[in-house]
Amino acid sequence: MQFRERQQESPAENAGVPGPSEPNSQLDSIRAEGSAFLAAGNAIIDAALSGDSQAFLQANRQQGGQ
Amino acid sequence: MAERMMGLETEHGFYVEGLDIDQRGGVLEKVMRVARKRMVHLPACHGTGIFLANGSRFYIDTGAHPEFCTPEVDDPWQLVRYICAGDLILQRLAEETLVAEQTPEIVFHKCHVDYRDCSTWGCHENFAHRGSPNALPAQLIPHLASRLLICGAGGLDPHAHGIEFVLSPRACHLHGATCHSSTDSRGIYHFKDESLSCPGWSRLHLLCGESVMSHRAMLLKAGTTALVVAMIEGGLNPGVDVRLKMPIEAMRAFNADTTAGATGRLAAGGHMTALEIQRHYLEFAEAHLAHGCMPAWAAPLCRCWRETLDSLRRGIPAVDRMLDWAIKHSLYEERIRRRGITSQQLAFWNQVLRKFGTRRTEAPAAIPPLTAGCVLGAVETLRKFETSRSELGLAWEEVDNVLQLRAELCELEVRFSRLGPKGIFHALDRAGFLQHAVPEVTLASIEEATETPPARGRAGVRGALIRKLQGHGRYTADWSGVSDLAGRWINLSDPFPAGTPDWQPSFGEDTAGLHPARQLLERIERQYDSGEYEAAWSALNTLRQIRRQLPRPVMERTLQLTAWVQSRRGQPAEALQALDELAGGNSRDLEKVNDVISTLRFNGLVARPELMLPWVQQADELLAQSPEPPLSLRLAIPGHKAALLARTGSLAEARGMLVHAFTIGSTHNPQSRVLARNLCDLAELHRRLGDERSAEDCLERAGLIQISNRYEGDFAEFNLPRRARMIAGRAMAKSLLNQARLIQRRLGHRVGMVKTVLLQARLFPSLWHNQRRKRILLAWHRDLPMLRDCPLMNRIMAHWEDWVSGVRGEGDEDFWGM
Repeated sequence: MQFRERQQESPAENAGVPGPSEPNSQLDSIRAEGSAFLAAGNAIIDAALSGDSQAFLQANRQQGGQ
Repeated sequence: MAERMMGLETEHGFYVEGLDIDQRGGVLEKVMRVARKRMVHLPACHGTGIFLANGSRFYIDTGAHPEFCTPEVDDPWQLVRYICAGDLILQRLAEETLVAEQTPEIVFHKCHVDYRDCSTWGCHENFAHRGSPNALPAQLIPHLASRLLICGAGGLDPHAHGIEFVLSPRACHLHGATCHSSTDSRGIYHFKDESLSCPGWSRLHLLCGESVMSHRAMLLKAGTTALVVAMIEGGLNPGVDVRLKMPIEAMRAFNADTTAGATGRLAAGGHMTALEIQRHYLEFAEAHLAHGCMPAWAAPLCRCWRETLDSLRRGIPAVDRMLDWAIKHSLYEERIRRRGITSQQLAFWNQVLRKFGTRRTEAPAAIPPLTAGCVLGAVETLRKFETSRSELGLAWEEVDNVLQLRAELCELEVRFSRLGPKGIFHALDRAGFLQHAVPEVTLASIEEATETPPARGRAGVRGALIRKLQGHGRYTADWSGVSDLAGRWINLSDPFPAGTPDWQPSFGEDTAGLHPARQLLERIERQYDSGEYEAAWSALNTLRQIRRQLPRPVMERTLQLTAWVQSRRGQPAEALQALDELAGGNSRDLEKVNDVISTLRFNGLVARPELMLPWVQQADELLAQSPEPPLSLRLAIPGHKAALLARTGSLAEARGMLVHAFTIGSTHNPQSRVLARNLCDLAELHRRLGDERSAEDCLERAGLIQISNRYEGDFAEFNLPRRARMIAGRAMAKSLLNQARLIQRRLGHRVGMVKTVLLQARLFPSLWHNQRRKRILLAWHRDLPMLRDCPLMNRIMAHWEDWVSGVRGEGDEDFWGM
């Protein structure tokens, strides 16, 4: 799959099956909430990441289980 | 309305800040020590770990993964509560271990793949049911393949060097539609059926899923699957119209697609998307809400299911605060955008990085991460992409940015599912950005579930008993009961007991044959006779773990069955080890000598005289000294001797021996499994001596015994292939071998399947099929010690072209002695 750029998408374009149309105000509201979510997500992720992901993955190696 | 029982096992990943994998060894022991000290519990009767007062189990599982098993619950909302309660318990244990044992910070997480070493570990779902296990796979697999859309954890394809998003990283580790093993060659549907309950109940054990953090995803994962199982149990055939022609291929297509546009080919023709398959199951369930097989909670679950599928139809933004994969997809997309990489550029880099192969092995440290230096050094490979690179205005050095980003996203995935407040999911949830909550699952109800067992079902009785009996040092617990040191037990094998059952007498006092060990032993014997070696091995493990606590006759029988089962599973070293332990220095016992000969005889594709001969001589001596040897040995030992004689070319002598044994057996025990096997061997000798009519007669008689007594493993291994060799009609022979393979596949008998596939390759050569067969055989050859050590197997694999083109073996043997 390919990641797409969020700001170029509308929800209907995103779905394989066309969905019911939504009023503009609802879309605007979804976009605004989406932006806030991504901003918060970025801040949380930046605080959580180690800064050296390769070293983290090396240290976090796991044995296979079931 | 029917009651359902379900539970979930979560193997957690963990790391310790500042410690590498090799330095973490003792940390989990410390966690267990703290758990034993701080928590109300009883030690597990079988195996390791402890059962807690909320009815759950905590232990360290394969691969040093701390595993939490929820108590059995009867609705999926309860299950979500107990999954979260398990997380909370584990997180608190980590914090308490830090203080009590002065360890560095221990971090538990619920990501089920290791992106560095490509290993995986499980999150297994369990559903008790009262239907036929055989009815499940065909009806259930389309649901399992398509439910990724609602309960995939989301992440990157662990086998790709690029940034390739998938709905379920765990699904990338599945290799087929079905499987018997949980540690290699995993498939969508797992055949394990260890009921842990009284007769009449089976347990579906699924390993294709993974942990999710969203409560809605947890609810739908368990609830929808339980409804599909209920409908199958009710004989409704919910999956009959959506059966997939190639399930694993369809699942891979669904997995790699977030637009819900990818389709899978249906067995009946046509194609369907994952969303359409899910909608089919939903509508089927809605149409049968009033059916007696459905649980009382089916209607609200269907409402949640419908709402989620409707949201999915509207695209990712409608679910990216609700479902794990969609939340991660949005977050990852944003990280990619922040790195200045466009979707077109990412597609280009993924295409380039695919040229550097896939990360397929699970061998630790065998796969160093791909570096920018490696990529830049592959000048020839990069040359093919020069035009595209130039059109996109990229520099090759920018690949470093992509590889760094990939590592960052892999780290993000681990930290996303971290337990406790520092986990990214929990932080987003606390900040109010997520919309994943489901009714009845609140902080207070989760807190309550850490201490209190479910109100309904046996887990409630178990939890109450644990609270009452803990601290005495005399009691142990198990899923199906509670025992004391004297061997008395409380039977909890009924999933829904009425009240607390009374204490039952110990093994020695048990005259009614109700003791769990005795029942288990009888089940294993039946499984061995019918060729269900994998199921028998699974049940044997339970007994083996406590064999030192068992009365001597049970312990000896456990070891003997271990030898038999391991021998037929292609693990001769473990079989012989069990026999050594059983003999305890005394190898002058006819029955034990016979067991050794059996193990050696089936250690490979053909009997090996050099290994068997000294033991057969010893058996002869003991047989001569024994005034009245058991009938079973009077049938088995001539069978082994005849196999030995046949291998050394004394066909007529071998035939005489089997005819004599048959006369004895048919008089005294005409339904014996060994008698039927001897008849199959006798048929082969008749065939080689040119008497095909007698050979056919022997196989027919053997078949009657094997079918009427359900000796299915022997029928598939010894009877059907011999008929196929003799039969003139090519189509019929092909059909017989296909029948053998189907039985062996259902039973999970890989050693038998090897023999059948070898015969198929020789009798019905086709370039395409034989390439596939060779790949399968090479994988089994690698996995099974018996095959690795078998000279004939090695010879066939080394001279594969000769084998498939029908070249005759030494001494003009038409099947090289097989």
